[in-house]
Amino acid sequence: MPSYAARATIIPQPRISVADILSRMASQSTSKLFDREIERAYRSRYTSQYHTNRTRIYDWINVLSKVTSLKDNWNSYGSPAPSTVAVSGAKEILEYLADAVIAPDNLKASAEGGVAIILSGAGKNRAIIESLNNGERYMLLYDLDGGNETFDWPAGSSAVESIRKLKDHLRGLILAT
Amino acid sequence: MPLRGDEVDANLPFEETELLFRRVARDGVDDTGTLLPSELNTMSFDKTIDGAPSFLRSAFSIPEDVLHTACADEKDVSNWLAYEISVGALPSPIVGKDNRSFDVFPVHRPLTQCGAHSVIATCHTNDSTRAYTLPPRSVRNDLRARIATRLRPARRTAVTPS
Repeated sequence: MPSYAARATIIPQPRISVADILSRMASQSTSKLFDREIERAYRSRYTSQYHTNRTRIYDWINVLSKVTSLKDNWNSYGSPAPSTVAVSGAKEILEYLADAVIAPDNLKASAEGGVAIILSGAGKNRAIIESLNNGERYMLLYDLDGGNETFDWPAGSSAVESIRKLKDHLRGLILAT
Repeated sequence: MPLRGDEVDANLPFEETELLFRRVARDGVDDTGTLLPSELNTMSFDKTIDGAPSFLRSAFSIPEDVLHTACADEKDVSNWLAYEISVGALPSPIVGKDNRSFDVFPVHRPLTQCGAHSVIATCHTNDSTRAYTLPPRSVRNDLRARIATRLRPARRTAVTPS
């Protein structure tokens, strides 16, 4: 009769003991070890956020396709529907945001004619990046007290500076104006 | 029912305390109930004064009128929200990055079906003719952000039984 009982097998273990670990640690300063652990944890968290954000960005790209179905005067205030130029610009901006691990709050048609990517940050700080039908792209950094500043959103790799300003603002940096 | 264009006095000046009403889509506000600046247009299909942000003046309307089809191009906006800002709270003047200064003021533009219809216009500061001028992007965004953050939910008119 066959036996289904688990076989007692000996799994080879690495020859390492508590004494080994302690002796290895002793060769490095405690602060160095601490820094290394922090860095490892941060890298792991960043990688995880990066992948989560990339997945979410594809959700927003799906929302973009819904925005394209709007007709002129969609808001009853005479605003034009988003054009293909505006939508492809918004898609490019979303890719940049994903790479920078910045998650939008919402994505909507803009009353100016185009697509608006909506973000909120610490405290009263908010931001809107708009990709308009005429190809114009800009970032509006503002707070709930009405303080605001507008920056052009450049195409290509020069968006790095815009991303830095956006991150600073969302972290709670007070606007100069 | 909103007043029609032939039922209002288009020459009545605006008082500082007069309110301007605007309808807002329910998803057009953030988690604090503040209007998103992207919900405000500074022009629609044209760059004339009629493309400027549209409001209803309280001298000839009540907040509910902004949700009436007669004032919404016959669209059903009954589930939208009514917001208000006083004329005195309009941000003016606004100075652009190029140091050009623009005055911001309401202009009554009655429509046939919607007599209280008005727009928020801009002109160069100190232009005695007050001719409508479309300002540069930085000024338009400044205007949008400041108006959006100053708009508040309108106090609904009490309905009295007849």
